[in-house]
Amino acid sequence: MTQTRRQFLRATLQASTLVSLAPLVPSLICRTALAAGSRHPGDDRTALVVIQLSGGNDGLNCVVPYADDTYARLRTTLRLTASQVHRIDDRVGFHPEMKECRRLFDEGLFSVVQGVGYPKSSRQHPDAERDWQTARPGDTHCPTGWIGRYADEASDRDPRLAPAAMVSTISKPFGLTSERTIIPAIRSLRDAAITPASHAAEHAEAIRLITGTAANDPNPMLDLVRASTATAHQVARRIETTSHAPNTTYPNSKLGAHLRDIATLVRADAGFRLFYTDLGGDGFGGFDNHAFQKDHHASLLRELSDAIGAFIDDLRRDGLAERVALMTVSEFGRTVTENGRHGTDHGAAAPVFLAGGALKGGLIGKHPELGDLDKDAPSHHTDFRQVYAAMLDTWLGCDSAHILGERFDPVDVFKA
Amino acid sequence: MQSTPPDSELSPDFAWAPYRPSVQAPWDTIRAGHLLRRAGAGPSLGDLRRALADGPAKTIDRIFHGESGAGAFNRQIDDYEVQGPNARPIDELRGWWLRRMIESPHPLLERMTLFWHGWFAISAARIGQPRAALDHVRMLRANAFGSFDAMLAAATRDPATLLTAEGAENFKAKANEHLGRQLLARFTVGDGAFTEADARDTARAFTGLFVRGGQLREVPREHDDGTKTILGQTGAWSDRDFARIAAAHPATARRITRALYRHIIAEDADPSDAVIDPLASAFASNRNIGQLVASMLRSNLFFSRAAYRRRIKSPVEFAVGLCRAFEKTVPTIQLGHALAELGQDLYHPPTIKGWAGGTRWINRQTMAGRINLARALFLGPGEIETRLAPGPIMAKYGDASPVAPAQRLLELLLQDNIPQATQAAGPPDDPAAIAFGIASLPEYQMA
Amino acid sequence: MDKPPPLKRPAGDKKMRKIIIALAVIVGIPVTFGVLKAIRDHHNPHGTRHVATAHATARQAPVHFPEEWIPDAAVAVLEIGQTDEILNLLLDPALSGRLNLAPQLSGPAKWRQAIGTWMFRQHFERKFGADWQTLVRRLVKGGVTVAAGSEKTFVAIVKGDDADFVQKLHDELVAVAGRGARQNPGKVSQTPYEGVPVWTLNGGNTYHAVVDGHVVLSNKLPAIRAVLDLRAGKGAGSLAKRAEFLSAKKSMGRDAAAALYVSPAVMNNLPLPHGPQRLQDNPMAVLLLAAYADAFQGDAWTALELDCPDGNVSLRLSGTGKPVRTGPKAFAWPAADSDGALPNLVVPRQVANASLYRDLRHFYANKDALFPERTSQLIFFENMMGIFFSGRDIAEDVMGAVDPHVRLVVAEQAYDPAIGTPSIQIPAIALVFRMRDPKRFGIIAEEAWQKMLGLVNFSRGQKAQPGMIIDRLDHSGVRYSCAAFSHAEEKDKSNLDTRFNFRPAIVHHDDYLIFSTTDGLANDLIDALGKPSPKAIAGINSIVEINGSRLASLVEANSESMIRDNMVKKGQTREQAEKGVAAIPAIARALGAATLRMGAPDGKMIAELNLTLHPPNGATAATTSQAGVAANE
Repeated sequence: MTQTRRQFLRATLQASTLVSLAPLVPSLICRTALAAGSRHPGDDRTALVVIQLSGGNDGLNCVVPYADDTYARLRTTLRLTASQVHRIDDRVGFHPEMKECRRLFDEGLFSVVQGVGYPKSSRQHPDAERDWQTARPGDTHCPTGWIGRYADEASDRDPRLAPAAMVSTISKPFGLTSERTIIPAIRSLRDAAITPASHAAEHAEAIRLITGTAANDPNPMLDLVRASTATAHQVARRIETTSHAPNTTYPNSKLGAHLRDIATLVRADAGFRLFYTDLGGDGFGGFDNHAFQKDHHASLLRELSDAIGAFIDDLRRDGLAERVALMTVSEFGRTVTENGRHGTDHGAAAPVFLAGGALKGGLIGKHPELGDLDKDAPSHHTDFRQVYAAMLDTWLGCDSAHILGERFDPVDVFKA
Repeated sequence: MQSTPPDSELSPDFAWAPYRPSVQAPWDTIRAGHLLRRAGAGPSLGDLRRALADGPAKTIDRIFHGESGAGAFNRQIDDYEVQGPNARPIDELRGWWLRRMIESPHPLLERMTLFWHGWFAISAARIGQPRAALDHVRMLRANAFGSFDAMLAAATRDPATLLTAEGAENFKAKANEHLGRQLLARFTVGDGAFTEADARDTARAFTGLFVRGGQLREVPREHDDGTKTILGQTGAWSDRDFARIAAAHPATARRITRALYRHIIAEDADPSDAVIDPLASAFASNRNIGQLVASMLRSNLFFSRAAYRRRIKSPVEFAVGLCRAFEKTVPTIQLGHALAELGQDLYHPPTIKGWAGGTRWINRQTMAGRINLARALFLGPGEIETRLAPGPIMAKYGDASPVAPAQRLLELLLQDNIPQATQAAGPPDDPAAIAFGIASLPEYQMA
Repeated sequence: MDKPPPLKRPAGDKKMRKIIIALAVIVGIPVTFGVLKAIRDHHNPHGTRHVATAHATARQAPVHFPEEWIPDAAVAVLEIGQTDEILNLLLDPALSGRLNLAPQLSGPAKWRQAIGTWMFRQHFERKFGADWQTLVRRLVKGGVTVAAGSEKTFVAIVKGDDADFVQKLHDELVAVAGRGARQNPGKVSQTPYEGVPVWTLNGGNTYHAVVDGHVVLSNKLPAIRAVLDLRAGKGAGSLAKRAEFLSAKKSMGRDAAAALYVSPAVMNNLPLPHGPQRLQDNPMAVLLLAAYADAFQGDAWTALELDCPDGNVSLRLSGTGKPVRTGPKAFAWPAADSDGALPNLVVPRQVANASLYRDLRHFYANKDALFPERTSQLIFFENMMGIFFSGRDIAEDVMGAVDPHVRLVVAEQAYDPAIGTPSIQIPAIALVFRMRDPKRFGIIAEEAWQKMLGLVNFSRGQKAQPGMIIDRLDHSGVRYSCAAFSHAEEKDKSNLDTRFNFRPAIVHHDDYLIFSTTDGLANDLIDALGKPSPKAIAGINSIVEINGSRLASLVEANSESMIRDNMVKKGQTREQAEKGVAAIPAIARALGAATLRMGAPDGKMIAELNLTLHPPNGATAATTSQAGVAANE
């Protein structure tokens, strides 16, 4: 097919060079076509990866207050002892399966923001999920998600871009509902590229031909479509060339595959600023362990930790770790007391995990006091919207107050 | 297309006067293709040739009334969409609607139904039962060309509309102001043309209406029958009065006219009030949707450079246009899924503001998606198992002059209008590859 | 048929001549065709059936397959020894009629091919004085051997009953082909090799040679030459010396009608619809199939045998791996050699049933090894089981409470006219377990079931949908619980909502535990289980039976829904969809009743499929099982 399309385009569109038409071609296309040659566009753009932990992640089992008496007393069968955890300090330690996170933590590439939540959570899945996804707790009429609003703002500034993408196989979460922008769902790299792969020459030809033709009827909309098409071909070509590049061995799990695809898209400068993926899937979510939590949660944490470890190592190899920040979100934490089925019920505050090369690192904020519980769950001291604000303002460079509806003090998580 | 003066210089009188073919603005394939694209989803070669022979007036008449058999066709699909008292699942309903669009003898009806779907923007995800969503779209289809009074009256009592606008519960003690605001801001006069007091009194007019189990229930004791002032008019209004008052309001007429302008004529720039006012006042006085659409389609402005390729095809127009051009029905459940990925999920607009449209359809990712869809449709492989084949079309319309496939396909898909197109020297043999190449061009994305 | 010699005619008459010839062809040939067919049918009133039954019972003497001529690079070999038996199957008009084996042609192409085939056959039948089926039988009487190699190379060797006859047949074929290819020089040609003429009749698409009463055919010239080399005693090694092939052949034992041998190279590279990764994600797939994942191991060849006596077809696939009796996958293999799946239960109107030997406790206790992915569904399942069974351990206390003999029954429903018939008809399904400790576990299961019903009703209520009422029913002295939707408000009794297919029931009596979707099936199972329980089938751990004609009638009852489905899922017109849907019951009926058994009765994994092609009305393959009770209507 490749031959035919290239020949056809050459034959039916008179291939004029860009140089001879330069006076007629709008500057937008000129810039785009010139940029087609370079591998990275001028500005170093940052990217945010959000991992949704569906179901309500038990923070106490991830960052374990192993020395605390209340913990020991209330977690009768799920308790982890000092010798089992990866000690961080003399109060808390990582769950035994979070080995890779521990390694990155020691290198300053992994942080934990402790005690994150928000006031008056209903602790029900649909409501709490909605609160985290809209960033407007209690507003039942909110029509868009926080990421959707971010995407709308970003594409208002540059309509050619697709600012956000979901890289997952679940149904699209509400957080990605936008008013105007189309946020694609990328289930595999084939969705992001122009298939089939390995037709780099065809892409180059297509770009030249599209950008090389001028209309005798100036039409800004058509110019925009041309620019988007040229960019789509450029990105497709870059994805092809970079997906052949060697990378680390990702774990053989769904999250591993998603993060590997995200790393490829970052390397290929596909233009996405925000990636959304999940662990735990659709429905109530794999983290919703009301029964027999020990092994299930351990298995999920192993998947999370191994995938993040491989992802950061992969980016580091290409010197891209400073451009990427990763964040986990979950609709609530869990109760301190076990229920009778060796599981835990819906709670409130929980830690948010961050990974990336531009982080300050370490534990951020105090571990919630287990003596001061709010209906059997730890209390929060950091509003989750402060974490969002940090990501939106500091990291992605946009106006968080406009997106979140209010001004929130960003949590201080990035290096100066 | 020959140049006509840019829009800013077009006087409203000239703009809305009926188009008559002339030397400066001849009736050629370009105008015929433009008309058929805007009035449906896209022509077949047969449609194009017939339009060329019949001239604009007769073609527009046919577009309005549909071919014979349209009624029976629609009734047949109505039958397929239901299962006893229930509707088929929502992704099948999406598939049946796309099938209607591909095969309909009355494509303008489907296009207008889709326009109104974007206007009222019900979302099946919020509704639950597919039957309510199906009944809503049928209501839109029944009123698509009729009186906006009737449309608004039906829509404001439609369970799907009320559920999407979060107006399922309207207690006397707690009037649903959110519903009032949506009714005014989204369905009628628009932001800035009403006050909070209007929203409150509108909400009071709707008290007593509830949606239970997908059905509308009127509970008279919950209705607040006190005096209300809505949009400057005072009385003991009910929801029907609201519909009457709001439909007749000039701000509503202007909003609808502007929305239809974007849908039919051009999306690149907002037209000035001077251009809009003649049509808007005519619509305000009679609220006849069909007449408004007809005035637009018959006008000089529609056939001028100000309108030509000044819209971007929505994903539905893109895919359905290809199917109609090649006269082939594809598996539409899978097509519905593919179009949702491109940003247009029928029965599921993103918010109650509907689909933004225009340049918002196109970003680098959706362009890649369109190219991939075109490749899947012509060359495979993909989830959609049926291929669009140029071969039978070439055979069907093969005439005395043996024309290279490339030329015929350009005539069919673009009406030859690519800048600096030359006669292909040694084109590839595979017409499917040529068709794919054309469908991936930026020019093909323009409506 | 000879063409008339060309005549010289004035130019103006040429057009007229064409029209007359066209008319003659259009009208004359079909008429002649019909007349001749009528004459032949008159002389041979039973047509092919007559010929078929004449050979039905005779079993041919074992043939020698020329493996010493097949290059050892072959990766798959098909050997047909009982050619008459196989031909009876292929030529059976009932089967070929239902399956519509004719190619999908239409219009002039179909006519041309029909006429061409008919003329070809007529010629040979007249020349050799026998009908074409007899000629074919004679041609293959000595056995058929087909070998496949890499890069889609095929070699077929066919031995006739008489070398002279084969030679004459071939000579005539060459003559006919030569005449037909007069416009195309080079289409028919021969080149000698090793003293044997190697022919091609279609310009090099296929090659063949006739030696010693054998016809050797191939699609690649080098392959034919390799065969002829081996025949001449030259060339590289032959299949006859290949150890793995020979041992696979020996292990088969008796003389099957046809056998296919496949090398591990092919078995390991089969494109499976879901790779091993996907298998791991799906606990149900693991439960059903994980035991057979190691069926093809090592260097041994896999053997597939076919026998088809008198309206029965049986296929037997012998794997090369042994069952793994330790570790996580051992849950499907019985500890004792005499143990296995129980024979299937027999109930009226049954569509399908399955009987499995699966130790559920062992299966679930090893879930981390078998399906490691912690999906949302798994977590939800565990949460729900924790609630229903009040915190008991799932593997030990719940799964371990039933023994490994699990049976599933699917039966068509007999809808109560007082209630009505749903517009979409879904068959009744039931699972039958045997409890290890019935006194204790029966009531635990009942409690769990009632909680589940309550949850379902509650969730339906949240969506404003009607719920089910639990009632206690009695059948033959056995009391059990059943939940049903109220039908009082339903107006249209012939077009009920789909939910009226379901009246969930739970029966715990003696040591059996039944979960059924209807009370009707529960009653039938109570009856069936009331009979003395049969012994397990040693070594077999999965049995599946399907009744084709029942399946067909189920499809027909739902055909309208399936037609609409086809239209919108495949973009078909109404007519195309109707044809497509009508084909399914036709095929199901043609295949009759099917039984699949899998296991390792002699220590090696096997799968056996039996098809009873023309079962008497209503009977199923169960009549041949150890239960031995014919189904009644």
